[in-house]
Amino acid sequence: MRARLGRALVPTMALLGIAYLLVPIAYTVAFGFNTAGKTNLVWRGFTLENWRNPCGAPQVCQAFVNSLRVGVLATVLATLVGTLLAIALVRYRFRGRSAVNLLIFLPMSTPEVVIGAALLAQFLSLRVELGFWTVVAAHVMFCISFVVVTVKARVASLDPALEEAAADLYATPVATFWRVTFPLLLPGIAAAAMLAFSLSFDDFIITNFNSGSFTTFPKFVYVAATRGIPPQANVIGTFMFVLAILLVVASQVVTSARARRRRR
Amino acid sequence: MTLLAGLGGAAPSQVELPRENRSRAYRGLLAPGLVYLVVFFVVPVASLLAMSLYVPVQGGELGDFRPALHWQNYVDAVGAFWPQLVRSFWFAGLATVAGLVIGYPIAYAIAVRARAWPLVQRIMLILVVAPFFTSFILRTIAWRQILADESWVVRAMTWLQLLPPGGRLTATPFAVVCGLAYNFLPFMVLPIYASLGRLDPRLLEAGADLYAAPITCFRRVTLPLSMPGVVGGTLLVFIPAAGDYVNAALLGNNTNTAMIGQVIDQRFFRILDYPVAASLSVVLMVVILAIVAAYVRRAGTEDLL
Amino acid sequence: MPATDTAAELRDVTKRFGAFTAVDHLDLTVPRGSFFALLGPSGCGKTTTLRMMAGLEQPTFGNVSIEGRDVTGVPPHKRPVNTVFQSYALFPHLSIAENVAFGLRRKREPDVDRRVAEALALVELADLGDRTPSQLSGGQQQRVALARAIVNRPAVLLLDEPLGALDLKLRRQMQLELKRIQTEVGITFVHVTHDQEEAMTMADSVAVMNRGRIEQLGAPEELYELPCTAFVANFLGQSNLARGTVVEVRADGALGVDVAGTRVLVRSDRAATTGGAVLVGVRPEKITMLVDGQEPVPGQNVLGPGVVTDVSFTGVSTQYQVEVPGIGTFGVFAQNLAGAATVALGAKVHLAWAARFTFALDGREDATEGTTDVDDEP
Repeated sequence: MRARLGRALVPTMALLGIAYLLVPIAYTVAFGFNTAGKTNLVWRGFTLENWRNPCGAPQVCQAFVNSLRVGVLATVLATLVGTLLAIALVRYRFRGRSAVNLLIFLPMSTPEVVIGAALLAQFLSLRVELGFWTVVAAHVMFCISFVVVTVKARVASLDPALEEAAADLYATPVATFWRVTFPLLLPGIAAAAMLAFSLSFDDFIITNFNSGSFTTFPKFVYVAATRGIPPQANVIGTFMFVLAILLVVASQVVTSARARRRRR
Repeated sequence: MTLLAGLGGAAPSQVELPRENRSRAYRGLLAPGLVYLVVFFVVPVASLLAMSLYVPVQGGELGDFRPALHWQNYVDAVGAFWPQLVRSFWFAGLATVAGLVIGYPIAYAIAVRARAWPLVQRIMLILVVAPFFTSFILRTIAWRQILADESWVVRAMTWLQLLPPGGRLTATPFAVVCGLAYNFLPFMVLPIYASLGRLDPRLLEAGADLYAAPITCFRRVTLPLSMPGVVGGTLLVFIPAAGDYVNAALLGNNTNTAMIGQVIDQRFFRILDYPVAASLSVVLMVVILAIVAAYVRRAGTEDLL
Repeated sequence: MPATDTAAELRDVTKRFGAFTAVDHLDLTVPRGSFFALLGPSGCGKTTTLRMMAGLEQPTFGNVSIEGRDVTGVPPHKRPVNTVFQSYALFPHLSIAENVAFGLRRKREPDVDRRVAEALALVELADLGDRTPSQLSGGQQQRVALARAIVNRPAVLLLDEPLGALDLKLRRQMQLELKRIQTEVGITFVHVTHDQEEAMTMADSVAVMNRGRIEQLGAPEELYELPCTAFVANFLGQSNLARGTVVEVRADGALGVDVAGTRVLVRSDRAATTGGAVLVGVRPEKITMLVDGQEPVPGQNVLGPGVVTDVSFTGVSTQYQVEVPGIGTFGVFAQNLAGAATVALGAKVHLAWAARFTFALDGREDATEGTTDVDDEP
């Protein structure tokens, strides 16, 4: 009997833990349906009005669009640069490899406050105007490291003999890259791009330090928190959440379908 | 053990050492990334260091500083704000411990107990990562609602006499640590999951074969072998938590929950006291780097990535 | 391009990786149209040599020529050479047909579909063009790798231990297949392997490599019956080696060698040196054991008496270990003609063999070169 209780301990704690993780999400989603007053802190009643009119609150949609623009641009640039770095680090042996590894690792281990402050200090000294471009520049910077880590794992799992085989079969280095390396790296690159986008979209601290009067979605929510967050913000949050879950589930379905086809 | 292997959810294969490659192509591949990181990371950090030593221009306006080597700034800054510094590390430490206590069973359940059901594993992993898909700010705000005075949590705790009647949870250190632990929990779960996932179940069978009871097996086999994951998760939680101030700002108050990040933010934007803000940032960075360096010396730089 | 009988040639090629010399002043000529094997233990430099022919490695010094044209420094995608890799290296994101067509498409050759179908038929995988590599078995993948290389009709086809991952029966089958295909297509094959049986079965010429150098090159029978170094004697099959000194040179061209007090005859054209210390050798299957009372036939060398210390029945043969005082332990293989072992453990026997099968190596050599030990790394 005691053994059975003991065995139930871990799953129980795990389920409680997962519930703990999901409760705030439930609140966020739920309060998107709230008939909110000014503050949307207390549940008043269910309504679909917020969903019908997601841009009803001033600035919500503008902030959302800003975050999207920054996210897309930063993702494209960071993924491009990071992929090149990852390939160089795995495929080539050169002096200074550890130093490069370290340089890429440092932004990930530096607190966001410090990065934000450092960039701000730099922009202030150079009297650069804070806004869209400074935010993009900052986002690209901290996304690069994460892209490198993700793509590096994928490159490392790629049999180097494949590229040798391509060269052996008359493919020039350029042809080898486009016809063999790139298609095989694509899943890793896609994963890195998704990671970069979500980091960029959700970033607050670094953005806050470097955006001046330019508002992104997290910044809007933070500033609104003192007065009262409009439920439309919850709507957008819920929307992004559902989108992300769908993407993850879709990619899982695709991978398992591919695996099942292979096993045949 | 790769520090961020867990974020991908899968255990990565060994990084193959490349065959000898003398081609110069790597320079073209490295150049854009390295240049970018130097320009937008190394140089700004140097700027920060420089700025931390500036002095105010005599008779100048607020925000006017001139370059100098005024090391005294550090003494002033730390002297004035050491409570917030200490509190930041203290809160981060508490959040890390809480994260470990809550996160280890989750990781264990996914990696070890659910091993026979890959679908269940995948669903649980998605649930663990799900919080990331909502906005960081929104989910922190949600805690304000969850711990609000009229909420069921507060009511239950008052009824259980864990809280004095009329006591509140919002704007308390408890709420801040709660938020910190919550927001960085996936960072604790994933590395431990990756580490436990690599645990060969036959080792546990060997333990049982050699007369160890289940608890002993855990203590002497599983726990030590999952240490790389635990250490990785600890770092991944502690580092951002120490510098975080969103949780403190949204869930705390102005008297006993202020963290160093808030101070830096204020000094930069409201008080325009750049040198002090910069020196506090540098102190924070140095402490964190010291902790990471201790870890790196054990594991080597290849393992970090 | 000058017409030539040589498919590939390496002249004084050396390859160093830092302080380690993988290939040491190697000279090699591969005749056109032959099935050529590079045989040796792991680490002997055979794969490096192959890769230098393919262009995947560049020699530190020396020249590589393909069909008379110097290709040293020419990158692999410009050489008329194709490789079958040990891991097959099939492109996982392309179908089998597209894998095989890859080289043809890069060179923009005409008539791709027909040639792909032809190549797949040659390796007996005609209907599998639409599958992907992950849907094929190991043996099938290996054949696709072969088709992918052959379809380009290269001047030289390089095979890097292609049968290593296959199980024994399949390997035997593929050895015969490869030999058949090579004869049919007529392309020069250079096959790298550590399996000496494989090399001897398939190849027209074998180059035995050790520590970056070629120890001996020739037809399998030559190498087996007349090894010229201890390494070749021990690496190809098994040899019994005994130390002795040349004491007489006879008029009929034979050398008399004193081995622990007994006179052993060796033909002088089968000896590495005609004077001084030598290692006398004979293959175990050439020896018969003389038990009590049996007399040797004229023309035989006899050593002994010795004691049988091990008897192992393997079905096809019985393998004996005989310990002869002053000489060491000799192995004897007796073909299973009687249905069971004929000599008992512990029996006192003399070892006899036809003198013309004896060979002699330079006495300064290490008699254990080329043998494997339990403690050796795999």
